[in-house]
Amino acid sequence: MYATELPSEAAAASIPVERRGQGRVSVEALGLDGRTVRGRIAESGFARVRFPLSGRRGRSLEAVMINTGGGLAGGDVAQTCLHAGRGAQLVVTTQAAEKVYRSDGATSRVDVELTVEAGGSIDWMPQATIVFDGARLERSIAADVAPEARLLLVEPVILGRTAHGERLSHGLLADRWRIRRGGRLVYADGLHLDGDIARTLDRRATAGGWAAFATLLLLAPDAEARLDAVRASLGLSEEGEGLPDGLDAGASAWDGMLSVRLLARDGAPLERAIARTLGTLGVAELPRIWHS
Amino acid sequence: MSEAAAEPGNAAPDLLPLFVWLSPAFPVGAFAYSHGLEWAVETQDISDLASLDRWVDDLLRHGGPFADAVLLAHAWRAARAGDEAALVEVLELASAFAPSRERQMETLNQGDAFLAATRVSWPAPLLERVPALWDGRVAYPVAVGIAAAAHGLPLAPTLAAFLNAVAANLISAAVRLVPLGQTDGNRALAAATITVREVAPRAAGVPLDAIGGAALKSDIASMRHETQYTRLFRS
Repeated sequence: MYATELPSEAAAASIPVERRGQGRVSVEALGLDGRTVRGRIAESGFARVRFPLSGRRGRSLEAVMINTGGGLAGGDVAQTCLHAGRGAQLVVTTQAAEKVYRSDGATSRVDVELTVEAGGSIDWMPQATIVFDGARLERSIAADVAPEARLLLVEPVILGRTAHGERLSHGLLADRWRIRRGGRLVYADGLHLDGDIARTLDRRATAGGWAAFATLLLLAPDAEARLDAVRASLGLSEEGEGLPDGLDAGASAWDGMLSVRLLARDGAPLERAIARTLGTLGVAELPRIWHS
Repeated sequence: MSEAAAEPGNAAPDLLPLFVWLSPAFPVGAFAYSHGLEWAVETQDISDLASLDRWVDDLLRHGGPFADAVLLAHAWRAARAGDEAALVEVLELASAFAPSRERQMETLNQGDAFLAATRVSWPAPLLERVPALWDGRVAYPVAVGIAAAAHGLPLAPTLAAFLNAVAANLISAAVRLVPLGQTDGNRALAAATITVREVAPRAAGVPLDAIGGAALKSDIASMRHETQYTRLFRS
């Protein structure tokens, strides 16, 4: 069976069970005199966090997550815990796209836990997760946000190495979002792909054969007021030029939240749409690392 | 009690309440909601019988209706077992499990209306417990699941009847919007029953934590529907 594999796939699939990795990063951001400073920071396994000097601008603290393992193999577990205290503003991204390799049967886990206290904010904007064909990934995003706080989630996912013409045709992708405000569940979402995934994604009400998607979710006191600007940035306004080629998108706002769904032919139109829209979601400047 | 039969012995269970509750005449206002289908007609994703059949099949397998069936099953089991903590968990999850404003409105308006109508016309102690357990609004599939458990209706036919009613409502919307003839509407209803038979038992086996689908285009359609110029439907 190995004869049909590309060298990179064979390498990822042959990591012995005892070497399957764990990585955990925990970052606490504290508000101090109108600035944001680091509180407790913990790192273990393949996960690291850096605070680039270029990120120290304005009132926010910028953190960049690094996976020293270069991706996730089957069975790897990655945990990220972010906490923004009163008045703290934390902006977090990742150094590179997270590659989830073809699995030999074991499922990788990615868990993200976010808490934001009153007057604080977290902008969680990792670079895309690239799910290789045959990968198995279960991801959970859980957040608890104070009523007078802000949380922005931007999670792009690319199904298969589309630059190589690869699609996600089999494997597992299960995504679970549970977002609480003041302890009460206000937003829940679930994605579940397994079995004949290519056939599922070809359906007209699912992805119409396209390979990249993202959900953007903003909880903030001003979230609903941003809806018109978000729609305009995506090309959804009546007077605008319309949606760009290779992109489908919708935006909605309710109950102090704003949600955007993006579906794209591949990663490029998806990432362009995200870059165009972030400003309207209150992101003053894109993370520098995205440009490098 | 098993999930397959509410009554002991071999007597066929009395399913008449399901025929009443899930008929278009039951006052939940289902006719006002298209689950984003009105936008899919606008974009020509649905333009004839074949594309309608596919859209309904997609949603029953991967969309909001499938997730609703999972929620119904968990609400039924929690209510049946008298597990109030589990029931509150389902009530909370179902009220938040929506990708857009109109999708949340669709499920909560129908759920509240269903609960109000059953409390008045089909009273049961379990239905009276709901306001004490949960101070939020009630999603449609959870309301149906609780009512079915409260009246001793078995899960399997409740799930199938619920999914069939949702499919029939989608088809009814499409017949008006595309438009399609009544014969094509009837063909679509017949096709949907085949999918419902296959999907209902599968939905019954999904853990609450694993609830989810893949109907991204349907979610986007519900968002785009909010600004659709001419609308007959509220979702």
